[in-house]
This record gives sequence, C-alpha cells and structure tokens, in this order.
Amino acid sequence: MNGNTMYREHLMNLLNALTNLSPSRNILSQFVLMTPNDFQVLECSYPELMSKDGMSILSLLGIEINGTVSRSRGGFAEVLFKQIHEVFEWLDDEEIRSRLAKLLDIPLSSMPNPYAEWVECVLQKLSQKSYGPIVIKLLNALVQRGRFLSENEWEYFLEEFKRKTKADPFDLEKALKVVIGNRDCKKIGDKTFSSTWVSIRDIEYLCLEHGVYHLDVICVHERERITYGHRYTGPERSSTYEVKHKKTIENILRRVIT
Amino acid sequence: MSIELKEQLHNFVLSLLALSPSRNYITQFLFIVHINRSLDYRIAEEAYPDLLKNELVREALAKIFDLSITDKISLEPRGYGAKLVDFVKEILSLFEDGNFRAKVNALLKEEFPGGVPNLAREWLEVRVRGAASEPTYGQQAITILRKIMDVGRAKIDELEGALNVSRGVLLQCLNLLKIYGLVSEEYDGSYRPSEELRRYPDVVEGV
Repeated sequence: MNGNTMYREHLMNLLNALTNLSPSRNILSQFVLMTPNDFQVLECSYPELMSKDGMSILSLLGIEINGTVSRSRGGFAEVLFKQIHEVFEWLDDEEIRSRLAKLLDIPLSSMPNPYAEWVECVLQKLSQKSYGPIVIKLLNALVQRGRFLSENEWEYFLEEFKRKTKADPFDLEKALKVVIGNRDCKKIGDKTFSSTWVSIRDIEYLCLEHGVYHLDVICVHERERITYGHRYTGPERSSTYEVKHKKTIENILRRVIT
Repeated sequence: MSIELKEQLHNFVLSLLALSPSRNYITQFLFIVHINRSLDYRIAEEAYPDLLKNELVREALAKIFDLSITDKISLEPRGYGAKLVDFVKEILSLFEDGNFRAKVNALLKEEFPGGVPNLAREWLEVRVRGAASEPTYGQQAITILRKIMDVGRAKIDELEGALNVSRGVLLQCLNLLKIYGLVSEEYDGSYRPSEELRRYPDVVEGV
C-alpha cells in the first residue's frame, strides 16, 4: 500500500465508517445504545427490529431478549456499546477534530461529530414531549455552571433547579432522568500510604451519568479515603461533578433556543 | 424484512467491513503496531511512508491515535488507537463466525451476491501477501513459513539444517514473519505458526 495522499482517502473512510455506526445514523447502533431496557419500551420505539428477522440479527449481535432486552456479556453489542461512547468522546474533542480536519484538508465545520448529531436527534425527539423544554432548561443551567466542587453544591443546584422551574413533578422527574442516572463507574486509582501507626488508602472512581439517552453530560470524580489504625473513623467520601461536552451542548442549545 | 431495515443492516455491515485492516490503510498500520507491541521505527517508515515520512502527518497521527513515536512505535494502552484496534478485533471475530455470515448472506443476497467475507481470513491473506512481497527476503520467508507449518514448531537450528539457509538470512526472514504476525516465538526459542494460520493453513498454499 503506497501513495502520497492515499492516507487521506483511508482516514476519511475510517471516519465515515465510525460515523455511520453512530446511533444518529444507524438503527442497530441506536438500539444497542438503548439497551438494557424493557421489552415493551423497545418494541414500541423499534417495531421493525422486533420482527422475526430483526430479532435474529439482534441475537447474532449479542442482544438477549426475554422479558427485558440486554446485551450479553462478551457479545458484539457490548463492544459496540463501548465503541459508540469512545467515538462520542474522540470526535467531540476539539484538538482531535482540528488535527483531523487539517490532515484531511477539509474545513472544521465539515468534520463529522457523532455526539452532536446524537444530542440533536434526542432533543428533536424530546421536543414533542411535555418535559422537552425542562430538559433544555436543565442542560442550559448545567453548561452555564460547568462544575460542582462537592456533593452539597450538586444537591443544592438540583434543589434550586426544581424549585425555580416549578414544573409538573412527573415531567421534572422525566427530564432529570434524561440527564442523570445510569451511572457507569471505573476505578482510576487505588493507592495506600503506610506509616508505623497508620495506613491510608485512597480510592478514586470516574463515573459517567449516561442518562436515559446517553447524553453523558455529567462526569463524577469520586474519592474515598479509608484510614486504618487505632483512630479508625470509617471512610471519608468526596465528589466533584464536571459538565462534559460543554461547548457542543452550548452550540446546539443556541440553535434550538433561537 | 422491511426495505428500511434492510438498508440499515446493509449500511451497518458496510461500515464494519470498511474498518477491517485488510481494507483500510490506517487500521492496518495500527494493527501492525499492535501485533508487534513496539515496532521499530525504520521498519514502519519503510512499510508506511505515507503515514510516517512527513513530520506534520506523523505528529498529527500520533496525537489523534495516541501513538508513542520515538525509535519505536507503540500504542498508548488507554488511547483511542488501542481502543479502535480492540474494536476492530471484535469485528474480525464477528465476520469469522459462520452463523453470522450465513444469516447476513440470507438477508442481504442482492447487496452481497458473493457473500460477506470472512474478515479474519482476508486480513491473514493480506499479511501473507505483504510478507511475500518484501523484495529481499519475502520469498524465502514464505518457504520458511511453509516448513514451520509442516512441522508444527521449529527451532532456528532445525530450520537451518532442513532448509540450507544461512542463520543471518533465517533471522531476517523470521523477523519479517513476526512483524506480520505470522509466527510467534515460544519461550524455548522455537517458532510456531500464528493461531490464524493454524486455522487457515491453505492461505499460504495460494501464495
């Protein structure tokens, strides 16, 4: 394989393939992203995939359908689910996007952004729901705030949002579930410091709040400190909350609101 | 099956196929780096001049795919390049599954009249052809590979005696086969055909 600018064609093909596998463009990827879920919910949203042929495709991809629909451990759907999130992150990173645009010799605005496409898709769908405007208000409040330095700050923000919105409690609950919930944590650190009298263990987790539609807006950095010794006081916990994809969401909201 | 679902499945399969290292120069490069864990820069530059000779392209690719490029090239373990390789490995496994191919072939007869390919086999074919086409040692490397496949595993001394090839040439050829992931070196210094070659030995016969 050789040639001076052949890499451009292949890089473009790679980006197109990854973008075409994203949930805004493919119903199979969208279905995978929305699992696990209740059979009835998915049957209502994706009736064509619940046909005989549809279900046999899903089964080959590693989707288990009983009373509920889930991704089987180690199946292709599980891998695709992870990859969709990786691509959301990768192609929404400004530095990556500008480097790719330069390499491909295309304007930055022509670069595909699967995450932005997905958010637009979800907001479009939610615009027909009674709680759609609350989701937009919540996203707006979150991107304006950017981060919360403690659990208390976060809780206070949520309480204030609920109080100021004065929305129907049912709609409010639904709107919150779009953004918060389905927490997915991975351990990113586990260190122990020991001296003669005391031993301190610091554990860190990075958690992504997927929400119902995987808008992945909130990332929580959790820290737990356990002190062992004669003055054992139990674990101390602290958390910071970071709003992810801030610039992209801001741009989309600007368009949606105007 | 509805036309719309058929179209979605077709696009899904086409996108997965397009990511295969047998069809995409970029994923191929990432796979070769992954197979070798740490690839000698000079060898990589010779094989992929388009990606590595130009400093700007090289540096951009290193940032985009989280590659470490010094006198060796490797993938950062948690970087996107490594994650993409892991994903593509799963695509190869999916298309190696006869059940998956048979079902897709039945549903997309018109779209894939020749059937969807076994990507694991296709990638192996590309690697064997790649090794064979190396101008200096390619042909001898294939002869050595055949010998190793015949006996199952062989040490350098045994190959030297059986093939009447100098040790220097033998080492170069084995190195070439290792770069393409066609043989692996065992703890006792013997060489074995790769797992994929053991599954598809006939790939070498066609070269």
